[in-house]
Amino acid sequence: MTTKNPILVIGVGNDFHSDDGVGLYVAREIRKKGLKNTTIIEGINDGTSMIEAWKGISRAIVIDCVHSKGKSGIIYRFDALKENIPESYFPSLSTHAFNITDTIALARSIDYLPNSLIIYGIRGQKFGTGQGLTAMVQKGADEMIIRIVEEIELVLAGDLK
Amino acid sequence: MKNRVIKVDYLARVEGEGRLLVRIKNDTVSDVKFNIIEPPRFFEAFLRGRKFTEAPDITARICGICPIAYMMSASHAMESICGVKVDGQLRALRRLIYCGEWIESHALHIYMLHAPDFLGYEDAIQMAKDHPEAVKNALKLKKIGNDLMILLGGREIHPINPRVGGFYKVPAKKQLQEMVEPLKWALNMSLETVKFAAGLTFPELERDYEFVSLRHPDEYPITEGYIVSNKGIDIDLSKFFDYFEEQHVAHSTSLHAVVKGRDDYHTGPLARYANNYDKLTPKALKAAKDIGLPKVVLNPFKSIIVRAVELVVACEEALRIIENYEMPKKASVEVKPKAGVGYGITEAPRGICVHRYEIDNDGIIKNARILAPTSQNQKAIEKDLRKFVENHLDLPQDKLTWQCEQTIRNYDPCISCSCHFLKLEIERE
Repeated sequence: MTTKNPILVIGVGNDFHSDDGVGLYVAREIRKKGLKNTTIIEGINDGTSMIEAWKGISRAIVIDCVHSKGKSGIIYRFDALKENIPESYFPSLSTHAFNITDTIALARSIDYLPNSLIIYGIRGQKFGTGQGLTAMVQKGADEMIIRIVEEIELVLAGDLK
Repeated sequence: MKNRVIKVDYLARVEGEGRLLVRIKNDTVSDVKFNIIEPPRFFEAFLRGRKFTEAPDITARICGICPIAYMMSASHAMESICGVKVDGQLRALRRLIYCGEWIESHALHIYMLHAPDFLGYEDAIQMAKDHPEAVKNALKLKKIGNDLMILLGGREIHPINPRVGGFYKVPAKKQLQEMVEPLKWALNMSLETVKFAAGLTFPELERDYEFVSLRHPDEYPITEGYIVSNKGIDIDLSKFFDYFEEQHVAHSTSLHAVVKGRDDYHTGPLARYANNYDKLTPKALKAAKDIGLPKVVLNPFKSIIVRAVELVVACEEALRIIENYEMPKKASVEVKPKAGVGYGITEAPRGICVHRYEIDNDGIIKNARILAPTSQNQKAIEKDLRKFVENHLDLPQDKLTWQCEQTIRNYDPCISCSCHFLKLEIERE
């Protein structure tokens, strides 16, 4: 799970719960871009494993589906080191594993946060069993891929800290 | 106050959804209901009609914490039906990946889920502020277990490499040797964990449990053995349902398991330890003796100590297996289907994981029956709660509620598995 690449992209979610798989979809599509110095991990749904994955990383980007009321497909971007993330946006389906806000709080307590931690969220519509994204989430996901790739390229070029 | 209700609508630090209601009337506990409210998951139903080779992968999905338990029990059951014995290095690799699961699961539960109860913290995040090194060590321990699972299983959650007959791919000796140094660290940290757990303060509770576990003539049981209890059961796996039965209870989506003609039983670390004290690995035995841990532990709160002793077992065993490993020529044994009924029972971190299958000559599953450890422990949990509340009626409501939750967490319950979340209510009328 450790990587020597300075940039780490983690896709979170479940492919078999409809829009909840959007984080995994975005991570896979970013992998296809073949960005240098960037490691893509999909499928970490356990906060403790995520903290371990952050060790030694300059910039970690975590992508997950957001569960909140409103129009689906909306993209959120949080700088986890500078702003609070609404816990209700990223509820954990399991109390055994930690949700993203708990994971950040735990990592902060033991000084295990990466130098930069960006959380990308996209508001989902359907979370029931089934595969595939709903139309608005798909549209938002494709836009999110462009934004994250641009962000990584700016970081790699030294134009974004 | 003679009458009261203790109610917890959301029990944290357990896997899945459940609720607890305790009613106290005239200082007597009138009702205890450990309600499993997670929807039934119908795994047994949708296994029917699938190929026998699919059972490990399908049942691995029952649990993200202990998928190996399901994969191994399913594989053993199918191999037993088809008359195949997986032995030698393949058997050793199965035990090794299972050690990985014990390490990650026990480390998570001891430090992140259970220790906050004893140290007076709401959760591991609060605990981490005062005990950062303990949390860092727990994360590292858990990672070493996960790394073993990734190395042998392809990934830590729902591994893809184990199969009926063995594995799809087996590691080279060099790959396993890379785990030696981390495992040596894990072994030392496990020994420290035993001392840490032994130094905690434990609420008073003892019951005369019927401890049910596997037992094996040559080793501390993990992947194989026969079923024993401290009250006289000593049977082959195939006799399991002659001695045990499941009962439907209205307040739970999970069946309650009992010993036929008797009552509840207890499975998990306390049971394994009591029934297999003589099979502890050398360092684990010494660690237990050094802290004065008796051969049978009847206080369920002390399960945190026994889990720590089992962490030592898992690390010692993993190191021994790696030291003796020679890469087998074949990654699996061929398994041809034949009609029959078979059992596979292995020791999940939380207790025995029971699988029974019937397949036809084409290897199609006709019937499946799965008992998760938590469903087996449900009745024991309710009885623990009843006795604990009866003995601690003088405690203030908030402390009693907290310790009821802790009583449930003694079992590291995996409610998602047993359904087939936890909410707690204590009512004093």
